[in-house]
Amino acid sequence: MRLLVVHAHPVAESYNRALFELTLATLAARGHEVEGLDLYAEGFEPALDADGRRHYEAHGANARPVAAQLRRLARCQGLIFVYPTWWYAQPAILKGWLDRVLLPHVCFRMPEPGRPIGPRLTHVQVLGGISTYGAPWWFTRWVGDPGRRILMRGIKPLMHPRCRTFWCALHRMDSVSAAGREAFKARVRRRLERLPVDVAELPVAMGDQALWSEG
Amino acid sequence: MRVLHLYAHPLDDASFHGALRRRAGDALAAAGHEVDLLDLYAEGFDPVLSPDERRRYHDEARNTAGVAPYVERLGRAEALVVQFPTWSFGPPAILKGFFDRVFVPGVAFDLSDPARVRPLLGHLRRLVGIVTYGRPRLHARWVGDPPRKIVTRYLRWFVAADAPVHYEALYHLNVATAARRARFLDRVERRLGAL
Repeated sequence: MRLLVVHAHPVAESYNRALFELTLATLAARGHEVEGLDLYAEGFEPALDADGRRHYEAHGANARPVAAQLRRLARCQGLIFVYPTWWYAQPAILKGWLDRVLLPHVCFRMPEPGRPIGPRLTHVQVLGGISTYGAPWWFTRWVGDPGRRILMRGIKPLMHPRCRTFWCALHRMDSVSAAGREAFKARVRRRLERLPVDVAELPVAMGDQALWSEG
Repeated sequence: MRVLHLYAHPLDDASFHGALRRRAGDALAAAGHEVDLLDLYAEGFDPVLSPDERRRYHDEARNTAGVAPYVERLGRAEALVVQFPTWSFGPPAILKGFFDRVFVPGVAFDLSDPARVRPLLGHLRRLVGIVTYGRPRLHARWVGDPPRKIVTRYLRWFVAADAPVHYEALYHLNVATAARRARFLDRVERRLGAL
């Protein structure tokens, strides 16, 4: 399967970066075709600006500023996020990737009276998240784990209706032992090894692709 | 009271949020409050926690370098009004980045005993959220309504234990009529006028 792995941690020697690299290596060893997207390394600009907001619903004008990101999304059959949960959700740089790239007409069909929002990322058949949490579990539960919900309930309906999902979480990151960290890595590796290598080659339905296939 | 009005929308006067911001600001001023408008877009706030900031995150002597003016404004406030649209089911990235970079140990919470983390924003005696959603309320609830929980549970934890918390939400803005928008503007004005 072709997989896009999106990562957001600023520090190269971090545990989270090690999880990202482990993910890429594990998947490649299994025979997947893997592309890493390291938002910090690429200097992704997360704030949807005034022009972006004005053209948000304009098919074409909305897609051009993030055309390169959309092409990567169009190529993949599975999407995996590897990031630390800061406070309650994704680091701003990743939240901004969701804000700016998951656009109407391209990634979803705008709702109309009597017709709810519809998926356009129907070629994406796997959605996964691997996240470390600094907050204690009770805080995360109390706040409702917004980061996980945003991906697994908010974003998932944009994908194929039978899209498979998985979620791997390590809580209390700051006080977990070295053995606990290694055990989590092993868990992540086992989960990734269970992903199917062969999946259907489905057509890409992301609106008028001529609008973002270049530039 | 000194009110910090945290505002996260890129469009100015022409937008519905611009109108909300003005009505909110006028109502607060008319009630005799001193308003500090922190317009994250207009001030060019950078939401990205940098590698250096992450490395010194736990060092309370150095972790506010780069955001000191924001820390000071937060420290001066007696009430917090936070206003934003819901994008991709949560607050805009620029506001998420404000929490990432400004709510650091020693400013927003005390991490000296990791087993007993304590909030440090007890000087905030009122908390108000003004939030719009494109989607209907039922859909927001299915996702767990992150914006509501971020105000009424996440931010709630930091402020004074007895601080009243108000959450003013307009759902399904995509199809809101002019009358519904006008009613929401009135509601926000009343709420802030009575703060």
